[in-house]
Amino acid sequence: MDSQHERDEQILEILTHKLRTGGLSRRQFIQAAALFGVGGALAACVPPTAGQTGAPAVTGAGAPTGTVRFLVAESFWANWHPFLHTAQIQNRIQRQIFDRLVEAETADFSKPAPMLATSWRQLDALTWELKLKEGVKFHGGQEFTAEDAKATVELASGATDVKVNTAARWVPTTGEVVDKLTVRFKTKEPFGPFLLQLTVTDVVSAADVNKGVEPMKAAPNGTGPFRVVTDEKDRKVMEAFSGYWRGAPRIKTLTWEFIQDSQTRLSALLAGQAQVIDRVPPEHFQALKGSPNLVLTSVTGLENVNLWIRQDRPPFDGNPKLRQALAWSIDREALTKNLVGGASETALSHLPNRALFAAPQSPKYTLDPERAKKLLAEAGFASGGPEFILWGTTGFLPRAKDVTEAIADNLKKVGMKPTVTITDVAAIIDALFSKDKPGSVFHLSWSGNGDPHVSLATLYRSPGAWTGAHDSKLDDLIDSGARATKDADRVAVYKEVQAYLWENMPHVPLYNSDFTIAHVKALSGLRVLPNFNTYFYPAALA
Amino acid sequence: MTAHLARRTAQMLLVVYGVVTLTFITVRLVPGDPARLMEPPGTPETIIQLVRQQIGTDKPLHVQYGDFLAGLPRGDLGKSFRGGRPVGELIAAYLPNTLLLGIVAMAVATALASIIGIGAALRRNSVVDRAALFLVAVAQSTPNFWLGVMLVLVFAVQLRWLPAIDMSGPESFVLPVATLAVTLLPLLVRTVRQSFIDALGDDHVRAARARGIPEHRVLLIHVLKVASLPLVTLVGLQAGFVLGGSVVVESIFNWPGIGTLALKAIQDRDFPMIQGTVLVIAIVFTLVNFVVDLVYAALDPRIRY
Amino acid sequence: MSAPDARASAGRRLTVFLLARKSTLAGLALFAVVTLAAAFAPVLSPYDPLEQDLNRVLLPPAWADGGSAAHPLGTDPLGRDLASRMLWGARLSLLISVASVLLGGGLGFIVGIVTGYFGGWLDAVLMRIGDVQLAFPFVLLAIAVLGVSPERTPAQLIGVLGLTTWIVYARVVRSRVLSEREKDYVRAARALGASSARVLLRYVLPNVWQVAPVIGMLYLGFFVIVESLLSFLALGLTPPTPSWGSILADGRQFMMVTPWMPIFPGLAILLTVLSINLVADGMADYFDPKLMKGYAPRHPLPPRMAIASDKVLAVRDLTTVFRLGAGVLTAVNRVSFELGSGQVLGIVGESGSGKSVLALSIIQLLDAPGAVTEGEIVFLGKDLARVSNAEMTGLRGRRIGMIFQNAGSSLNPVLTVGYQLVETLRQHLRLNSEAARTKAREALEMVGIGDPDRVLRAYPFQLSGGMQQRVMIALAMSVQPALLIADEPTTALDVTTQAQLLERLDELRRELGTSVIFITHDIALLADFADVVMVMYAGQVCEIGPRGRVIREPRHPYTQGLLNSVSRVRAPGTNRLSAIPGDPPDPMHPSTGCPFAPRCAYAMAVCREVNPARTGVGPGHEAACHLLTSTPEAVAGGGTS
Repeated sequence: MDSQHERDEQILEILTHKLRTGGLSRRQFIQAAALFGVGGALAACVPPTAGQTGAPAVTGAGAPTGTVRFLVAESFWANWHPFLHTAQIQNRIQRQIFDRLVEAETADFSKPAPMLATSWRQLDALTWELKLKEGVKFHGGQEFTAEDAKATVELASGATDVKVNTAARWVPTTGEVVDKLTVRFKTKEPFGPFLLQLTVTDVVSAADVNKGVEPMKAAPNGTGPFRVVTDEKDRKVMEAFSGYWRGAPRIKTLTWEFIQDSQTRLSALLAGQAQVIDRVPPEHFQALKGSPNLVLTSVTGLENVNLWIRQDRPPFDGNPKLRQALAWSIDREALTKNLVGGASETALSHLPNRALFAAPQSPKYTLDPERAKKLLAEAGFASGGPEFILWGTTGFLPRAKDVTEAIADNLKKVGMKPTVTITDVAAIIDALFSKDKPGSVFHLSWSGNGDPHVSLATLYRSPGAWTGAHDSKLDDLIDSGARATKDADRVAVYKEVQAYLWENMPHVPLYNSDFTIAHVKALSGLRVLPNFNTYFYPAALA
Repeated sequence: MTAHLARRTAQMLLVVYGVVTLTFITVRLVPGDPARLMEPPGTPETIIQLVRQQIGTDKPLHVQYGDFLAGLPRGDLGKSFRGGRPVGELIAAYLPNTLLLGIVAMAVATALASIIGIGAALRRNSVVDRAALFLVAVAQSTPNFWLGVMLVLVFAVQLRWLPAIDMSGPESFVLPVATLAVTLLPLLVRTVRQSFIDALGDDHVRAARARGIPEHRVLLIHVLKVASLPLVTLVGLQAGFVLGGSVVVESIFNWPGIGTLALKAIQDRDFPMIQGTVLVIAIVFTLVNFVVDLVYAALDPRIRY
Repeated sequence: MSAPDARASAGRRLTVFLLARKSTLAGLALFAVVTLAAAFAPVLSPYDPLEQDLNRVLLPPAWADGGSAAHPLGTDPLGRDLASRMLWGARLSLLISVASVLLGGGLGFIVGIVTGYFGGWLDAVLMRIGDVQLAFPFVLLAIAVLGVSPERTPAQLIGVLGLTTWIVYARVVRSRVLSEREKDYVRAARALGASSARVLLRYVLPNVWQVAPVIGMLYLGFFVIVESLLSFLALGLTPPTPSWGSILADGRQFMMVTPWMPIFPGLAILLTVLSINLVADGMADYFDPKLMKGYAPRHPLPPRMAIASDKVLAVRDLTTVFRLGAGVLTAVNRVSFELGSGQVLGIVGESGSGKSVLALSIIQLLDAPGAVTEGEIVFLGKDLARVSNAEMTGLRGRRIGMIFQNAGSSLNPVLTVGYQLVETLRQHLRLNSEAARTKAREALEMVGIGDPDRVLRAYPFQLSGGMQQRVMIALAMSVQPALLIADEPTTALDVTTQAQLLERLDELRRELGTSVIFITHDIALLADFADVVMVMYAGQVCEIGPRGRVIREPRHPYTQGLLNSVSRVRAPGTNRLSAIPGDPPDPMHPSTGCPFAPRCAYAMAVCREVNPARTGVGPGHEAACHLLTSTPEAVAGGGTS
């Protein structure tokens, strides 16, 4: 492979360009998190599977046995077309059904591992050649060839005329079949994250692509370890794909089922009706720890939960002192430790704590009401105020209502006058993003892939959708970060960006989320990653 | 009778139309843009606008309303904004589960309420009566989300006698039915008790006794037939609660019912789904009450159509 | 009685009532505690209910492991003192619940009355709106009202809760009004030209309003639960204001860690609901004695040897009392008489004189809480006060028949005439259904019904009043009882029908040899019908004797008054005699003297002190009056002047 420096240069150049045009989403950010792999994995059961030989293989396993029922907290609202949605839950389940050309299924993102591609090399700034694995079969029986790799990348990157959602994070890329197992890709522009994009691009078959969009939306056909046998609205039943090229999975039946209520998920696990549940809220840990047959796996998510501030709406527009006062008024340590709990961590920067180039900032904005009052006075609110609506949601972030109330309490103590509004996600999204809506401060999260540029460009680069800011200095800083090519330069730029953000406080970062999975002890080998992915291959049920 | 049926049908259609129209207006008044929810937060307005065109929420309200109404006679409730599956198909899959749970719970609650209520009425102001009224007050003060979870923790988690979630065999009905029945009981018991007491005080009951009709016949025929009239009406009213209000129970027991479908649709601002579920709930509710009216007429000869 | 007196007496009555009804007293006390706790929350709360302390979150209550007296009920997820939040929550929860009940109840009540009474298009429109409302899911309604504005105030919550319930009230009230307005007295009032408003207020409302507290009670507690459901759906009150509902909703999330959290608001709701239930039950009994009506389980007196009699019925010293919360009411006081085979005993008296209670005592069907406490009722050699319940049931209908004043309400409205006749005949004569049917047809022909087949198929409401009473007579006489008790059987009928019916009854009686007790307030009816006339006043017999003697030579001033009044006009709608000035005595507070003394023109000092005993004044003729033992001439003179 080529030198690290060169690759980085290209990645950044392209990211800069790409992101200026649209911006990546929270969900997209999350999927990409695996490839940047900044792991905060506390999980004891994450096996060290990274490496050049890479792929976790099942050796000496017998026929698949057992049924695993996995209860998830998000509904399956999207379709099966891997490139026509950005739903986190859908991507998570697709990880069980599809394979990728290149893999980054472990914590170390900097070393993409072979998966369906056995090796690769960059021919020039625009061209990549990949050698493919032989003998891989789709669930439908077709053999995997270079044609499929070509069709996949062309569709996902937006090179064909089909409008796909994934195009936003790609540049159009065309493929050329060299032979049955060799494919050459040509990106329209230099595209550094090419390999990293491949790690989140599910491989589909050329035959399926030719059939058009609708059949692909209706049913998945991958080369992955599990294939879908029952597809209901809230329940997806998968079976072990016996012809899986890495060896048949050891779990025979894998069911993913949406159950919104966390207490219901917990009860089902405790009653033995489910083997795995996700998004266990910290208040349930105690009940699980007492059970000898259950295992808790917590990771610190690549997700910053923030107090969002709309800077294009009064009273926070053009008033950094007021925003600093907000930060000084909130007891973020206590919030993280006593309210949110679990593996959550107090945010140390505007980048998630374990994102690339993230560095703890100073001062820590630990609770200091006196300082907040002083800043408030300087900001023009010596005699109390300002009045504003503080929005919080239910059913989205754990403990969101309590956190919002605690923040309101903190703010009132320094003389601010927030009115708390707890509402559902739909209403809060509306209030945050629609024009001419009331409200200026929101308790919401944003999770990304761990790359600083993706998040910075999405959130702060004007015309930024999230903060509504028009800060030319910040824009310049972000752009220069993208242009930086050398590691040392990147470190320097992102240090400056983070310091600038910390000083300017476009919003207040509160904490990094907890992501906890609970499962029966009999289940081993389940991998839980900070990007919220849960891999059931090569897990086994004793 | 035919004229009455025609009039009742017209009335029911009117009511369903009213509900549907109200729903149509309500879902569009409430903050929350379905298109914005279908794309990642921060998606540029131009893309959101494309999604609006795709799902049709960019059209003027009266056009959307017209489209929706036009589909109804064909049984076309539109396609869900989420996943694009036909709303009618999803409702058809979920509704029977809610109906089954509701019918069983209503039957259990009515039977229990009859026993408790009649017992209390016959021994008015006695220990039995006081105990019954106390139980009713306890039931009334017990939130069903608390009761449901407690029942699960005791009978499913600790004792492992019954399943905690899912609709499977008959045993899976026990806990959700119990939870729902406790919610339904207070009003039923009170009504049974009161109407029984009223009926017991009726002149004709004394007259029947004066004719030497044995007590069991007095109670089971003369009193019950009169006292059951308010109960029948109440059962009709509670059908609405069971249909629309079983969200909590369905959510606790992962019951694949229309309540959770509707709640999820509201959260997603999935307009066709909301309209569809509300329409179906309204139709079932009006039909139930139509049947209730027929039963009432059958029980009370003074009402003739 | 002067106004302060009346007030004092009402106060005394209430005190007596409350002291007797411990449950009502307990309810009042409990409700007072809840209300006071809410009112004095600022004083009682150990902490500010909004004060957070993130270092003391989810502390258990004082009695649990790890709890401390500093936080008696522990703390919530934000470290706020739960006890203080419960106290403050009481204010908002009570306010919201009560206001919602008042809003929903008030609206529903008005709609129910208006639609029920006036009907027509207004009824159609409002009821359809109600149908729409009922079929419209609550959650959606809540979102529509609560979801549109960022701040959610108690007023909005009250609006949502009230709006969801008005239709329930409206429907119940409407159906009550519908049935009330068809009742005879309401019809009569309307026929007499009373205004709608007057009929509503005077006749319909009093019979309708009693359902309101029952529904209200149910919703009071329910609303707190619903409020928590709204919190659960992110539609609750704008935080941080505490309410029981929001504490419940918060507690739900932490059920695994702090299972007690939802129990406190649950208990608070329970106590409130219970207290209101108890008070409302007591209220209903206190204000509406009609609710006391109902079946009293019969408890036979301890057996003793009855004195043999050759009469069909021999009643001796019969005393019937009602034990009410406010005291003991003696409705029938040591009444004695005899009735020979085939004889007719006419009992006459004003309403409240105890004649109907006497009849019900004989057939042993007293309303709660009445009971025969003394005396004998020897019927064909058996003491009815002492026979077993089973034996009594066997006698009723078979050997003793009874017909009531209001035939319309004495027939089961939802069973056909045929069903009720056949049922009775089969019960007593052990007939198969075919034979019973034939016999039923004969019975109807026997009472002069021309088209028995139509009547057999008919429901009572399809028959005229006269026809209904004929059916009642057929029901009673078809099994040829030895004794027929007729309690004002013709009062509700017009004069022509009355005469026909009486004639028919008299013929039947002669044919079948039945003894009859005929109860009336109209002494003139007895003139050519009764063999013996018995005059009752305030539960006592004032005069009894052969018809000729009592009518021509009445010896008791009350009998004389009754006879004098016959020719005069009675006030419409009442059966009170206008001829005798004054009111009957308060049965709860009888005097020791003659009960008639306050109204008696001849009352002497002794009359107010001593209750006179019955004395013979001729063959089979007795009267209870001090005049008879002191100066009989004066009485005779007074009677004939």
